[in-house]
Amino acid sequence: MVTQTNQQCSLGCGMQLCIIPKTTFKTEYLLLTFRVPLSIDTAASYALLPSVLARGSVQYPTMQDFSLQLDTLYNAGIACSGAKLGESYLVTFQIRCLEQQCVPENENLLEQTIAVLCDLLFHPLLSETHAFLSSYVEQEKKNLIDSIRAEMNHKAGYAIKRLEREICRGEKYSISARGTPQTVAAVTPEQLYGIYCDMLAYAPLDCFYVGKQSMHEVKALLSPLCSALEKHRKLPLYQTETEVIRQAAHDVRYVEEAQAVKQSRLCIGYRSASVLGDGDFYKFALFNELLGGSASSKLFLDVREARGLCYDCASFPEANKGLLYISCGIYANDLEEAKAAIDAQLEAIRQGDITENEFSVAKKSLISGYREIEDSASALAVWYANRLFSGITTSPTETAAQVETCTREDVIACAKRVTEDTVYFMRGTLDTGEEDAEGDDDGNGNEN
Amino acid sequence: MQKVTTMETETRIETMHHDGIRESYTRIHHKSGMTVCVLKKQAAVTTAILGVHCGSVDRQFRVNQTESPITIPDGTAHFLEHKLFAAEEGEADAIARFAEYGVNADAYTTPDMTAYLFSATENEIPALKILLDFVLHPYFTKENVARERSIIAQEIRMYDDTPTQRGYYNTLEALYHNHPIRINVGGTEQSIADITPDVLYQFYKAFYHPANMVLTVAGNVTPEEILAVCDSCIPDSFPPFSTERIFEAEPQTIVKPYAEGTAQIASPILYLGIKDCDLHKDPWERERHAAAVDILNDILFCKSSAFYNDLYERGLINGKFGFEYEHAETYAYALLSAETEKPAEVAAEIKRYLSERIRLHDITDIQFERCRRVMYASAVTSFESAEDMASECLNSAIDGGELFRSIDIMMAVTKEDLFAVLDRLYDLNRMTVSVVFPKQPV
Repeated sequence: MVTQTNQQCSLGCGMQLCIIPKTTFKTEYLLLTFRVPLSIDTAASYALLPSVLARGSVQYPTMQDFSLQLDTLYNAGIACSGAKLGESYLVTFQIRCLEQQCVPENENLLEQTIAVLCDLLFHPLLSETHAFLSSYVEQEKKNLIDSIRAEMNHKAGYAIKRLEREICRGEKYSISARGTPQTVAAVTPEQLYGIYCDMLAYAPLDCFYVGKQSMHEVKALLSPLCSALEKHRKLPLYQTETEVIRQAAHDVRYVEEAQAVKQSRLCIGYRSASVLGDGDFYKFALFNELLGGSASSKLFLDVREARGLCYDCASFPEANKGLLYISCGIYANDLEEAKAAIDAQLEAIRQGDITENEFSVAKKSLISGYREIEDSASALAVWYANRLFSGITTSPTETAAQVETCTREDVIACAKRVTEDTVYFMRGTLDTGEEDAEGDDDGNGNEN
Repeated sequence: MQKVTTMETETRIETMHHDGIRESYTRIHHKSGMTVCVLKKQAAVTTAILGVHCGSVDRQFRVNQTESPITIPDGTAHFLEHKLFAAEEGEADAIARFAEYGVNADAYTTPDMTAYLFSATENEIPALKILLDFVLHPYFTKENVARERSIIAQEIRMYDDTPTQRGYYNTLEALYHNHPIRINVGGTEQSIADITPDVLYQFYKAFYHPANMVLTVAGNVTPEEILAVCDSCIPDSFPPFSTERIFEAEPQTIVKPYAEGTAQIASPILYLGIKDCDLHKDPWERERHAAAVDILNDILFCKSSAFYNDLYERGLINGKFGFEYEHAETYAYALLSAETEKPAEVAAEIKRYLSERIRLHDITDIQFERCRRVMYASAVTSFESAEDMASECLNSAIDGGELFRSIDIMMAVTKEDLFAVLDRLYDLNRMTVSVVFPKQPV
């Protein structure tokens, strides 16, 4: 399949547009990212902002008005959220709607959906004192605090978050992207409005469009948004940078916490010495694929298949900050064996103990994974959103071709640069080994 | 429920077409008895899914009328799904064979289906041969079964630590007296201890028959090449499929109206389960009923409903509020879920709302039309990716249905159909409230 190349252009005032042409999709997709610095003082506010904006605007004063309008536009979607990217924070707005030819009335839904987004973004409901409505702010604060507290519900994800915070102690990256229950609770409607004005004034805006319309057409569709934003713009715009530490600066740290769970979680964090901005990150990606990126990787085949120590054992990189994580769920008694097995697999790659088959299988798996991205509008947009910022514009298909040229030496070199930094172990207090019997207080229910 | 399917002698090919969403696919009734759907699509990825119509609820069965019933340990279908990838000692297992072609394979087990799938950006045809080959040629030994047991035990523990799973099964246990839908798909650490190679072979022989399978392939392939692979890879040697599933009678009542449990979580999680006793043998009747329930639930509870917004604005629920409806020949239930600090209050609000709606029958034309638009859009977007297409098509076909007809049934639902469901489904006597509370710190 021929893939058309993406195109970028500036829309002025710190706004960039990237067009990713796709003719085969039934929907159109637009991703907008406002990039702001990651800071302990503003994290809670920026995390709160998208959900407060989604509560209502002048034209759609309630969530229900807003949802009804989107339903009428054939279930068009507007998602307001945010995420950490390296040591910056992206406030994101995503639009997805049916592409014109799929709409019975042949309407241009994208134009109408952008109009809804513009209303949310530029005409929020305000109090007389130029602040967001305190009822909306207070409620979203509560929801955000609940959601931060609920991070612990998902054990594997929570363990990785804990590891991340331990590795990056004292670095900006350890800042919780959504703030903490305390910092969220302290946000006032006035402060939040100030943060909102700052974002519109200073945050670079990148727009990613995936669909069949041309650069010219999309620019025209975005022009109401651009002119509204221009009125708020001030200079200089925010510049964000990520501090990359390429080598662990201390002996391996070991952090252990007890949790009332049946499965213990072993998570190991490394300084990867490789980031997207290096330009040859695909070499590191190949190393990761070989180590723990698939069901044919060394970790999966040894720790799970050969030793039967776990159900999940995988490695995955954080590509902007330069970290590598390994995560697996085990019996607490198997901690030493699992850790030694993981160390041995990493060491094997360093020593060049890689069979022809392992190497070619890892290559094919990674290449296939990159090619698959071409089938998903949101994955494509995210691909460019993660890279554009580091000046990288290669497409997934082009990157797949680069992987083709990688050598065993490239992979060995990546493995040698990786240094172990911190181990986080969640010790399950309900994990009593294989003979564990049922019958704790869960799941038995009581008659009412 | 005895159903004997004899081998067809000839393969039949149909072209299915849907005018409204402008899509088509080829449906092959293969001579082996297998239903094969081929959806041609220009895409980077080709997805193939081989679904076997058996899952965790199939714990009791008879291979034919003359044999006595067999009961297998809970978790057998799922264990088999894991173990089917195995190969003889010294041979590459199925995952490794796929990987050599750069193809990722996966599998999953649901209450009613076991599915094996791959997604390929090249080598689609060799991958399809591997898929059919490994699913049709089992190989279990004492040793490989024992090793798998510890891996599955970790999987079970992982799900035990997932609070939503706990709430979900607590609800089903409170709704169902006997039906095995109440049992965890993976079984328990105790039940899987009883799974041996013999058990796996017994289950395999009962259900892994081409006539009990559906293959869907979506992507860069033609029906001709897929048919050629099926002809060469599916053996002719299968006896007629005659397995009979056995289910104990399930009362119309529920077990108990309330259940609770604890987990290490931040806020309570509420489930409200409704046992639907309006079961239909005929797949089209079942589809019609399910379509009406889906539309009704959407009107009652979606993000644009007054009810959702009222609870949200009063701070009773946050964004984590959901609803689903699951249905099969022998069971059906609706499930609402919410993360809330006031589970009792939210449950009471839902019950009050449903009773009022049943009395008032108030669904406006505007609500109905809006919902039809949402349904239409979701039908169109299910053809966005090869993987979605393959799985939607499989989900319809495995149950004896057909994707385009399902879409037509969905679009043909009337307001009167909704009222009929309103009156029958939301019976307060068949509702159970299940809450998972945060565990107090140890």
